[in-house]
Amino acid sequence: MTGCGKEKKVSESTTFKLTLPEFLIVEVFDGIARLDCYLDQVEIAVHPRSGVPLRLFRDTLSKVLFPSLEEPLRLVRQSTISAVPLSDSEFQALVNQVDSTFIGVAGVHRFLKYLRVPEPPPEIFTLLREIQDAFPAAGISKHETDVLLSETFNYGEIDLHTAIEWQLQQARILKEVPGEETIVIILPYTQVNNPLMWTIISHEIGHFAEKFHGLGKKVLGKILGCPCEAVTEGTELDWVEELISDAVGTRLFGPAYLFSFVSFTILQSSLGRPSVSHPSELSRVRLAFEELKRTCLTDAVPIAKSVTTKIVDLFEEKFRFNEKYLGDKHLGPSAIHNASIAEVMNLITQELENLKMSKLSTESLKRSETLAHALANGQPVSALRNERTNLQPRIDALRESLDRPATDKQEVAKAFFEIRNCMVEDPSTCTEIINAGYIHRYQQVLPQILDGLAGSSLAEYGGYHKKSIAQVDRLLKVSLQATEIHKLFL
Amino acid sequence: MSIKEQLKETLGHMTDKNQELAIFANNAVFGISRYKSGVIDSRTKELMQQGDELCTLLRRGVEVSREHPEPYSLAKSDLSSLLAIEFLSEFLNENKETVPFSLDRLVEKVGEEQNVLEKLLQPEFPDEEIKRRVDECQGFFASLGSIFVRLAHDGLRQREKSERIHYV
Repeated sequence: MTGCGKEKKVSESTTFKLTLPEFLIVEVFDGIARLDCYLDQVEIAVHPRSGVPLRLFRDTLSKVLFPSLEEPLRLVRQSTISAVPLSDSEFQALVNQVDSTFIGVAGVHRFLKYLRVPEPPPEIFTLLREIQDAFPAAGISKHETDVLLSETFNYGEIDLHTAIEWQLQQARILKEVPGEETIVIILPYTQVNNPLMWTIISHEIGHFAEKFHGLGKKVLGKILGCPCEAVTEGTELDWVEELISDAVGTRLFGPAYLFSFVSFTILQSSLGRPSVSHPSELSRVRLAFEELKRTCLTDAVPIAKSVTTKIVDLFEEKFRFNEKYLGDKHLGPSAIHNASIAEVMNLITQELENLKMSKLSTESLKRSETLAHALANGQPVSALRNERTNLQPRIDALRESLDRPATDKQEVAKAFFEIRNCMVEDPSTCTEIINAGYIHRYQQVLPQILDGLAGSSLAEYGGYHKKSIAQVDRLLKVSLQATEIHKLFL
Repeated sequence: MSIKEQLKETLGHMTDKNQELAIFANNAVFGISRYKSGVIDSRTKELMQQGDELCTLLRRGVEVSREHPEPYSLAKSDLSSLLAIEFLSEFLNENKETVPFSLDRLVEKVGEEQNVLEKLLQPEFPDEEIKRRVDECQGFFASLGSIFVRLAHDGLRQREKSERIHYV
């Protein structure tokens, strides 16, 4: 539990002022340290059988991945100390190196499948339930879901039933497989304990919802001006399906969805280029940002607004890098672009409104800003106490009215319940907790990494940072667990 | 499918190799950066040396490519060189409008920039002509770095392709 915004005034300034090179370095550094945290978890769960392979992995981290950031870090420090900006080629090499280290992390991640796998924590399923419950009339919440961990450093969704059936049909073994659609969410091993990245689950559930209701064809049919039955499979449909799934994530998690998407994609080299199955990441970030500004990201949430704007600016800067050196063009040859972004988003929003899907409010984001403050103090953020303005005078007034002989009982009851309601702690939603986690990450955790790296070697500070990762993960998971218990009592 | 294409498939689109080449190119930029700021130690030389090795590998790749040999008969180091130049050649053809050099110009540049690096690696101070060309040399390796990272990244995504999984 934490106090309301009035009691602990949240600073409206943001301390998140990292430059693009700094941001990329701390993001990838955090990724390597998280890989190390996963090895710790495997060691605790399955020790001593994985002793030798664990040592191999740890050597790779300490002798290859961490040191690969030494030169980029040296350049950043040199530029800060001398107050001379990096030259074009230094900046280019720095970004190339960080992208390359990310590929190294993904490469090492592939081999984690040769270690024993710990179970996903139960809090993932709490979040999954909240996401599924956001579709009240859609039948999505009734479907059985599971979370599997994968060696692929990416997030995915598979309808296991359809996939198996398709495979057996290809092999001409069976035409139909008994059973029904089963949603399986796929997370990379190293993100299994990171609640901040679990937000991507909403995108994956979005895929399921979009298939379940045929939303992709409905929306694309309207864009192309044809009935949805006439819409064919292909890149355009794939793209619209991705945009719908992003809209589900943005609607449910607000800025937190955009943050997790940026965190995963900004370290990749192709973020400015569309593929046959996905629109460019830049287009997706721009769409999500526009939608957030249209809905919940108002002046009433100055921290969330400034942090989101800063993150989008960094993403845009990384795209300009790709555009300059690799000639990336974020818009591909697609009829989707004949329609305006606003029109596409309107069509998608309309379909989601028809499903009566819940959405994040500005009020929730305000609560997240307050919760982030508590998180920075090392407190769990499972609930928020209501505002207690003038509580004592109100209690005194109630006492006086009770003492009066001719008091209206209904008036007394009303005053009593108002006082009681403001004594109650409202449980936070998973969404509020995770948004608070991101604000804390950008305001505190990432700048701390940069400060910490100034005083120690990369591998040394990696060990220290692991403790910080474990502490924040634990706080967030405890909060998710406690909020679930709290809801049971209300 | 040609034998070269089969080889590329087998090697997982050369993700690891391209990543290694990207690191070599980046290190050359870092080495030159250290050199320019007056840090001329063994680490600086080691970093620049990697740029030199990259040039040798690419030059060998061009040589092997021009001879059109049967790839399976090549020694491992030659195969690496050949495939590196094959990937670069494809990339440069596909991105003619945006990349600042063609394959022919690349071959020429590799020779020129290797010459600059070799001079910088010598104990005596380089002449004015070489000093003048250091920035250009650094820019060249930075460009190579971007291309190799892109190739490595494309390989990574290619490797992740799966028929029925929707990735984010």
